[in-house]
Amino acid sequence: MENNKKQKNTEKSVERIVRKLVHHLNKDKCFANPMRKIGYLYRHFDKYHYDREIRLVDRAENYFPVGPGMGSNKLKLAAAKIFKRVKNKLEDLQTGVKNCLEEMNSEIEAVKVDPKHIAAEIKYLLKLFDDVKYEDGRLSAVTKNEIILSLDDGSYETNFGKFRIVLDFDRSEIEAIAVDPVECPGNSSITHPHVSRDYICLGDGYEAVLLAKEEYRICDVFQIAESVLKTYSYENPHASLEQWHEEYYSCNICGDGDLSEDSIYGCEQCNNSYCENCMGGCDDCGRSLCVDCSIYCDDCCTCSCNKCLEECKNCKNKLCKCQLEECGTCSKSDNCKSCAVDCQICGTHTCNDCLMACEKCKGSEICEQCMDECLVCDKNICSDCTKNCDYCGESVCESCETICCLFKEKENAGTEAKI
Amino acid sequence: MIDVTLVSNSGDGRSRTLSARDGVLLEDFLEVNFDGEVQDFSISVRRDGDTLRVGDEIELDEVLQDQDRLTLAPRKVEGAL
Repeated sequence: MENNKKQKNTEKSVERIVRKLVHHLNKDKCFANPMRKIGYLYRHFDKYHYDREIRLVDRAENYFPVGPGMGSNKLKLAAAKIFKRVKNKLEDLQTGVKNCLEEMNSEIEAVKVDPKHIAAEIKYLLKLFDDVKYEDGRLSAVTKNEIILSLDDGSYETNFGKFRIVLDFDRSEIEAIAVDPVECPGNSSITHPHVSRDYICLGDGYEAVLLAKEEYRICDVFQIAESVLKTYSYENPHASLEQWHEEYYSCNICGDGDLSEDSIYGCEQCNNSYCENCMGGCDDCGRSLCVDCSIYCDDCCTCSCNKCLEECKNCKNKLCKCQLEECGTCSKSDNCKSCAVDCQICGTHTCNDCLMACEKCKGSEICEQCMDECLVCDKNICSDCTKNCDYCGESVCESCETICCLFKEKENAGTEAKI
Repeated sequence: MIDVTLVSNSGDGRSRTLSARDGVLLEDFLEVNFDGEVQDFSISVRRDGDTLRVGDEIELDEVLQDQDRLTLAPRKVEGAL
């Protein structure tokens, strides 16, 4: 009783799928209206997805190295792979255009699809696969068994789970959507060595699938697709089987979690792990640092670590060496540009220790070279306040200018008298 | 003599209609007309628009009839970029 019910349900399900599928396949087959013919050819042309090919060329340009740290082998390999894919797609495009032109030049027969043939295919499909579904020109079914691959010696065995294979009659690609995706650690869009972004690379099975699709041998399409999933090809997989077994690390700076052991580095200052893109360093001591521990100087375009920075004696800030000013008097570079003072007379940078004050004009930012001492009163005077005695030419302050030589004479006279 | 269509889904996947003697066995037919190793393929026999046997249910001593359609799908197909 149960079995009868189940069988009836299956037959109804098959009928429903066949009716919808046949309607979809036949809708382009009536060419009484010339516009339908053009519509059919346009869709046929579109199925090669030429716009996708052109976008692929644009993407390829983004993979070529630009700037520091971008010339790594990983990116160069990616660029080479993209280049090869684009080349293959362009050759496919060339063939597609040629085929389309041939069809446009020839008469297209309005051959309708035989519902009995489709029904037989669907029944056959139900025996080979699970959960057969149809919607809007897309027929799909799930593999009965999980897909398990390993190398020839049995190593690196990986269970990729079941896949839903999708045949879209309006497109050339076959999809393979993982039911429980086992993503490649280095690239989450790869769920199987020959499946990327849910599209299966048919490789050796491409021509057979194409012909089977044209002849509506639906089961053959699914069987070949399943066979591709069940076979590991060493040549040109999207990702090798070994990659599913490698250990991957995360960058503590940007959070990128798909890094192999070769692509991760350790900061010698903070001990965090970082990737190539977050690489810094110290140009002075040469230590390997992350970008957070590297201090970049916009003026001299160098990176330094904390230990190699200099401290301003005045404000105590830590700065790049190029930010410190050399004192024109003692030649030491102790002060930063903000703390270094220019002598108000000659403009020379002078550190705080070497600054002097004029006792006459009270100017306090004067370098040693611009200071003098009054011969008479011994006061420290700046060069602006210094006068030269008219008689002896010695440096005196303004107040002592007139008494310079008289004072000296008096002194000398006093000394002679004593003698 | 009977006509049997053979579709091999390896290579270019083209079908061929071949003649064979009445009462020919599947095994014998494939031995003459097919180059590959049979165990590497999943075989189905379709008769009168219906599928008789599929995959591992096929017996190699199946007697072929006129207008039978044999499909061989490879168990392993190498994918690539």
